[in-house]
Amino acid sequence: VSQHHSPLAQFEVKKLIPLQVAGYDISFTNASLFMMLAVVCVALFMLLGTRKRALVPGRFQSMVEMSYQFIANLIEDNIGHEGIQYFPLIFSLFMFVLFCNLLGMIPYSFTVTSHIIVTFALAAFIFIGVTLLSIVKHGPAAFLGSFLPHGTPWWMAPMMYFIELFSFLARPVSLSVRLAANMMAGHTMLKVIAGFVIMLGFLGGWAPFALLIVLSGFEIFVAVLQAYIFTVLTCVYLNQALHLH
Amino acid sequence: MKEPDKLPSFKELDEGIRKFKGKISKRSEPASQGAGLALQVGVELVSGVAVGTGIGIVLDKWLGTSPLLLILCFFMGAAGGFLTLYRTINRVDETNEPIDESDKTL
Repeated sequence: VSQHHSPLAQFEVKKLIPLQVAGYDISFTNASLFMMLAVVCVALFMLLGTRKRALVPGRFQSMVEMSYQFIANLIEDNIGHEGIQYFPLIFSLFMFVLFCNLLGMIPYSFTVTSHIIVTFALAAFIFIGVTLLSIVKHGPAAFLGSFLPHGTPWWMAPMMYFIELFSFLARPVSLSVRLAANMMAGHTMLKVIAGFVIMLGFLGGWAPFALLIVLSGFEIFVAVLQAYIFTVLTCVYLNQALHLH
Repeated sequence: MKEPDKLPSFKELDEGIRKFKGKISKRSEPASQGAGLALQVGVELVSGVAVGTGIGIVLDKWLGTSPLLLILCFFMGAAGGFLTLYRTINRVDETNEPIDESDKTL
C-alpha cells in the first residue's frame, strides 16, 4: 500500500492539458487548475457577497465586509493612511493565498502554495515591486544609503552595510519558504497520520484518527495564519519602502 | 431594582467602549501571535544563511576567488538572518507592550 500512496504523492504536478509553445512547456496542470479555482472562488465570494448590498448585512455579506475591514485595518496599522492606495494589491494577495491554502484543505485537492516556485514567484513579485517603489520614490542614492543604519561608527560601516544588504536580500526567500514549508509540512503530516489509520485498521486506528481530526483543525488555522503572515510582511516591506529609515 | 438617575453621556460611553476594546485586543493577541511567531522566526535564520551562501558561491565563481567570498558572505548572511530575527521579535514586542526607546536603535 505504502508504495502507491506516498505521503508526497499529493504534491505531484500532473499535466491536464499538455501544451508546448516555442519550446516552452506551458501545459495546463493541476496547479494551474487550482490557482484558477482560487481566483474564481475569490471572485464569486466577493461578487455574491456584495450582490444584495444590504444596509444591515446578512451572514454572507458580513463575511465579505469583515475580510475587507480586516485588510483595511492591517494596512492602517502597518503602513498608515497613505497605504490605503495599495489596498487592491494587498487584498488580492491575501485572498489569493488564503483561498489557495484553504482549497488545499479539501480532500483530493491540490495545495498550490505548498510548491516553493509558486510562493517564490509571489514573493519575488512583491520584492521587486517594493524595491522599485522605494527607488522611484526616494531616488537610487537614498535607497542605497538606507542600508546603513544611523549612527554606525565608520569602522563598522562596511560590515553593517553588507549585513543589512543580506538581510534585505533574504526577504523574498524567507517570505516564500515560510509559506511553502508550512503548507507542505502540514499536508505531509496529515497524510502520514492518515497512513497510520489505515495500517492500524479497525482496532488501533482510532487514536491516529482522533489526532487527524485535531490536526485538520490546526491545519486550517495554519492556512489562515500563513496567509495573514504573508500579508503582514508585505505590508511591513511596503511601509519600509515608503518611509526609508 | 434602582433606576439609574442619570444616563451616561456619549463621552462616557465612548470612553467605556474604547477601554473595553483595548482589553479585548490585548487579551486576544498573544495566543495567535505566539503561534505565528514560532512558525515565523525559524525560517528567517535559515534563509539568511542560504542567501549569503548562494551569493558567496556565485561571486566566487564569477571573480575566481574561490573560498574567500563564500566564507565572508556566509557569515554576513548569518548575521543578516539574526538581524531580521531581532527586528521581527522587536516588532512583536512593540505591539504587545511598549519597550524602552534604547532598544530600538539598531
